[in-house]
Amino acid sequence: MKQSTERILTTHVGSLARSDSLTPLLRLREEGQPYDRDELARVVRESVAQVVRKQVETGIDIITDGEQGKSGFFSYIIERFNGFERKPAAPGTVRPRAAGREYLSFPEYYAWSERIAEPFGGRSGGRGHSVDTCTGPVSYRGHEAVQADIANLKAATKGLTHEDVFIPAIASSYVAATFANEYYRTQEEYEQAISNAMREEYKAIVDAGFILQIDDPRLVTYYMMHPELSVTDCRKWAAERVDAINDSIRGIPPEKIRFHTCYSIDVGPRIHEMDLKDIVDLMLKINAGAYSFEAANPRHEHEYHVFEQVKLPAGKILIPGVISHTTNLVEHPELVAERIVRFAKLVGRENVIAGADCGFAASALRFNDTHPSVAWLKFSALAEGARLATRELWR
Amino acid sequence: MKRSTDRILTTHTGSLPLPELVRRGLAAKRHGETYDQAAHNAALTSGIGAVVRQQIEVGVDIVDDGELSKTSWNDYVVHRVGGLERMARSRAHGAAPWSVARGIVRPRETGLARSDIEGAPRHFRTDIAEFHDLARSQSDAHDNGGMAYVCAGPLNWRDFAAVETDIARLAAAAATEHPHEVFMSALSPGCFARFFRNEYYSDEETYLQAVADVMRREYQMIVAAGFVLQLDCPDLASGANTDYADLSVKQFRKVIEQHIECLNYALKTIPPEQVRIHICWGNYEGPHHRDIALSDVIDIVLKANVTGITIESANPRHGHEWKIWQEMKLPDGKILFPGVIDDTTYFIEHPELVAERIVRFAKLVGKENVIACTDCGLRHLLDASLAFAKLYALAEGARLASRELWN
Repeated sequence: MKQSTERILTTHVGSLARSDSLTPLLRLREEGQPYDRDELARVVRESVAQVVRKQVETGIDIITDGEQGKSGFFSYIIERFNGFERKPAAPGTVRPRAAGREYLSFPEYYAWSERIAEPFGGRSGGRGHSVDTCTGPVSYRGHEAVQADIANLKAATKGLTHEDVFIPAIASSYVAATFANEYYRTQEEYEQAISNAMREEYKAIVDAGFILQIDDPRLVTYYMMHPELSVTDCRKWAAERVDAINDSIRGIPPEKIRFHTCYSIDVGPRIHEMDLKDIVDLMLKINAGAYSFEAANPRHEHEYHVFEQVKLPAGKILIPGVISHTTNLVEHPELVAERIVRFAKLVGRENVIAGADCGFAASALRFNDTHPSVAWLKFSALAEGARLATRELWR
Repeated sequence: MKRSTDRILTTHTGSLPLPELVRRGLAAKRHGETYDQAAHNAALTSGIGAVVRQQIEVGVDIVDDGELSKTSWNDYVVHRVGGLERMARSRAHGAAPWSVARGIVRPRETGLARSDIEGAPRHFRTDIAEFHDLARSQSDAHDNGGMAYVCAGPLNWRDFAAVETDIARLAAAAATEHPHEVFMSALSPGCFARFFRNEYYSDEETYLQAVADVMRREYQMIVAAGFVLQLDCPDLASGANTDYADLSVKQFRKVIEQHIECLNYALKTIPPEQVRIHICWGNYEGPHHRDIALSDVIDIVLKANVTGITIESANPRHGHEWKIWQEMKLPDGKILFPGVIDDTTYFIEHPELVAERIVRFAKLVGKENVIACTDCGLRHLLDASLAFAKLYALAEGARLASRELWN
């Protein structure tokens, strides 16, 4: 994993808007309708080439495929597992998030928020109508799919200047916490089975020479989604998930892995989120080389102060969000620089990579708060901010 | 004007979400439809009482009437001032934006083709215009059903009683609720001239003077009631990427110099310590990457003969501009009202972030010269609970900052 040894490097979280030619094909696949596989493969390949080129052009150093071939950062995974069955949701089931602290506190806001997103695919994509449930032994069948991801990205990055390439993959613990288990006797066995399966995807990414990014929003959203639990309860739960994540990445060198967490809700009051100070020690126990988290929005921007107390272990890198996916205002490069410098002064400039709060299109098929073209302006602001910060930090 | 002498005071820039009944009345008024005026007035009286009480409850020190009686912060004057004529927007603005129509031809380096600017609607925004589908998805709060107003006759007060009623309602609410201080906003002469093109007066200077002479009556009345007068002056900043988008920075500075002169002329009989001005870049969630830098206009802004200056400072496009006070001295006697709450996002700012923003300003210009404010109005927020939750975060942040600054 490259470090900011001579200048502040830039990256982002992964997903980027899919093009108008790609989205309908992804939708057909997501809905289980017939679609032209060759056509989809071709459009994905072209889309990856395009978003890779644009990342390089806007000044992103550590680049990815924009998750172009995936319908969502999480929903993609079901296509890559044996043992799951899509069942219709039980009547009256609410989305887990709707039972969480935020939705309970601001029901009118969130009802409105869902409503305005509806014409653009809503906020929950195609899910909600069906539930993926484990009904048989879990095993990985995504070998071909992940190799296609890798091949597309290798082809797209060839000849283009960049520092590193990463591919995101969902945390096995997230899958276990989200999909219902009707097959394994215990949750532990279920989690272990998913972990073993997911490892194959992780290893494929690392074996290809790419950085593996493990996405796990649930580590911090568990608190918001469980109003009945205290911070202490959630820490206990999170500590077990950290062990599970470490199990799933056992044997993979930490410097090949970066970990990303975030709060799932994009725009909203968001007053019920787990504070970074309450989870940071657990997060840093994940055997990764770098940690990506939200730090650019009005609910979490002040949390850089956490690192006045917490010492970043040697060899670890922070990837704080310095641009936000939740607003169409383009961060001023000087503000971006200010945010970077704050972290650099606390943990050392070589241990900071400038990132984003979360993906700009976490789902291909649902509404995203930032307009796709504005996202690219934000990348330019990120790169420019990193240049300004570098000038200040290396003078 | 009260100062933050022993703690950081809080305020906002004026508009607050409308009670449903009031909203419907104003919508009818704006579109020239009939509505039950008696019911509307009753809703206003009780609504303003409630809104003053709620501001105090969440910890706002310097309160207002939430601009509940006004269709909007700017076009409320068309219902009150005579000499303005309603016409189809296309006629009111011709085929070119206003500043082009005014004979200024050299396009500013905006990266836009002239064809993008020509024929653009009023409140055309260069940043949004670059993203056509984004432009479509953003509703224009100033849309009057394709209609606009121009000055087509001598300006005079047609309904000054409306001003007196506003003042009486707010004074009554304040008498019951006892806020720390009261303010009331009004349209600045520069913005008046920006929004309502002159087709009557011989030249721009005469027009501006006429605007100032008429509007002064409202300003004096507000101050006579013992309120702080807030003059809304987005022309000084947001004008640069809207109505004056085709001007160079130098040319734009000339325009706003003239607006400030006019503002000072309008305020000639009013003590500066009773007045604050509000500067912003437009209250909308667009990219804002075409916004003019505060450093390009602040020296002119400071020439305003007023004590208070409220400036958007919380959002991601202007969050870094506190740094200009590292180089620049806030003139003696002035009070800075930095926005520490971003009204373009539904996030409720973390109070610790609010405190941090306040403390930054306080350390540069002096804690007694800072009053914590919002970036801009909160009316467009979905419901009152969110607006007041943000104002509560403002007050909580001010408490944290006070603890740090007066420890």
